[in-house]
Amino acid sequence: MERIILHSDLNSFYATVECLHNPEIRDKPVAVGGSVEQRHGIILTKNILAKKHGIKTGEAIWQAKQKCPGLVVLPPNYKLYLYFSKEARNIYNYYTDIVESFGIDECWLDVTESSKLFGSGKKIADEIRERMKNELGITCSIGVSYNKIFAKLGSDIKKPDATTVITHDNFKKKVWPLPVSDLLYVGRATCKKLMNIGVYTIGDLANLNIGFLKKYLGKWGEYLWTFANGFDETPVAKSDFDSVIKGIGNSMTTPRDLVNNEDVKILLYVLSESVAERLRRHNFKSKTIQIYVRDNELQSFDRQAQLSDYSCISNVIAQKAYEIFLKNYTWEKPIRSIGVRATDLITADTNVQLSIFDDEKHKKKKEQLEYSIDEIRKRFGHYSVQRALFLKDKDLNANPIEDNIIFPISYFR
Amino acid sequence: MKKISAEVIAHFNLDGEIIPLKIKMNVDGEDKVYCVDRPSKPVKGASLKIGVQGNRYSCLIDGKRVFLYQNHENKWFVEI
Repeated sequence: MERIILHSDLNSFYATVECLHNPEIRDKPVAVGGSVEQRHGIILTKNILAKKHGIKTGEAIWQAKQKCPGLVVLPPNYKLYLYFSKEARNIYNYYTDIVESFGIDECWLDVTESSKLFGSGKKIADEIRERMKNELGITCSIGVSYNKIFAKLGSDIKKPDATTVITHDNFKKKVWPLPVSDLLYVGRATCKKLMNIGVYTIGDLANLNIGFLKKYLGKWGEYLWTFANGFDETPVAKSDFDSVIKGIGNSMTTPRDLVNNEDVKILLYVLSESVAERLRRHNFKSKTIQIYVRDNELQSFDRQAQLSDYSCISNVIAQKAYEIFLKNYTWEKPIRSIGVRATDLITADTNVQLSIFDDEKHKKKKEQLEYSIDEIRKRFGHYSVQRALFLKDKDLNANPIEDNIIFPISYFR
Repeated sequence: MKKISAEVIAHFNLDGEIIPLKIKMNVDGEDKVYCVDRPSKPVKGASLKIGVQGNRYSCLIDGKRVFLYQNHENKWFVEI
């Protein structure tokens, strides 16, 4: 049976929520941006009026203000956005239990079965839109189709507050004329490659020979070809589907540039503590540590190394990270942003090979200590127990766990 | 349309429903207490005019039909 899949996209989500709460700015160009002082000063979302001035997501706030002097820039309020995202999911859950989030403001819904109860896909989509407007005061555009890719494309075609239906009969007319860059997973690099061989629209891509495309783009060529022809059969993951964690990482853009090893050491410890805490919270131990460094001219690189043993101790992770850093950075430029990531995970209670050269008792003791610190922090707050190292520069200290940001997870799992 | 913050005395029944009984709000610089008559069951609702989203009660205050909102931070607002 043909599936009915909805893709709902909350229109300029952050900006709409802010406008809802501040009626006086509704008729002005509004953008939500990070804090300039903390150097996160880029546009996160803009409303339709701001879009008309040519403001783009991701550009610096000062650039945006040049384009549009009257722009109202508001700081983000993630708690509020999360609340609205959850309420929106509650509405989706009324219609189906198969809801898959893709970032904070997008969801796929599989309503194949529930269409017997609630009517056609278009009817459900219109009802969801109406409820969003009445109950949450925000708008969404919904794409209705028989696969996830076309549903997502559909939600982009008409904005805001609209339903687009893409069927077997009309996809050639609706989807194929779109530029190929609109397709999921056609980024800047792939787009350029496709342009080189004269592929400008999704239709061009669909009509290519699959064998040729596979040779030209590798495995991705085949995927993209299936996407373009609507042959994609990826299921919508269930709402209570917990994705498998493959790695845990934190990164930070610092309030000031890092200029020496001492600064980097402080930051690596801050990040490692948070990574280690999250490892313990999810009952993991990791063997491979990666660091990510970006200098003040936005050049970045990743390096990784293995630990001698699986671990969730912040000291071990931080020392390894610092070691990798010293080996790989020559201080040609100051550093703007830095990250630590732990991959190669096993669950913490798996049996592991002990070593006769290491002091296993000491290791166990350290682990216990860290668990105790977690307990203390849970009761008295993150800053109740601190490393003395962090007192050296208070600006660099932070709690990355609480400033968590949600990214869309990969389409393939 | 005006958005007025209000203090509320409410009845929490055994089903966990909240039924507002009295509200105190500042009208024209003067604190006044009103009875909330015939409050409806709450529904989710948003008002773009005053910029509120949350549980909405439709009720009679001083003989007039008004909306009473409880937002996600448990703050109450009257839309007049």
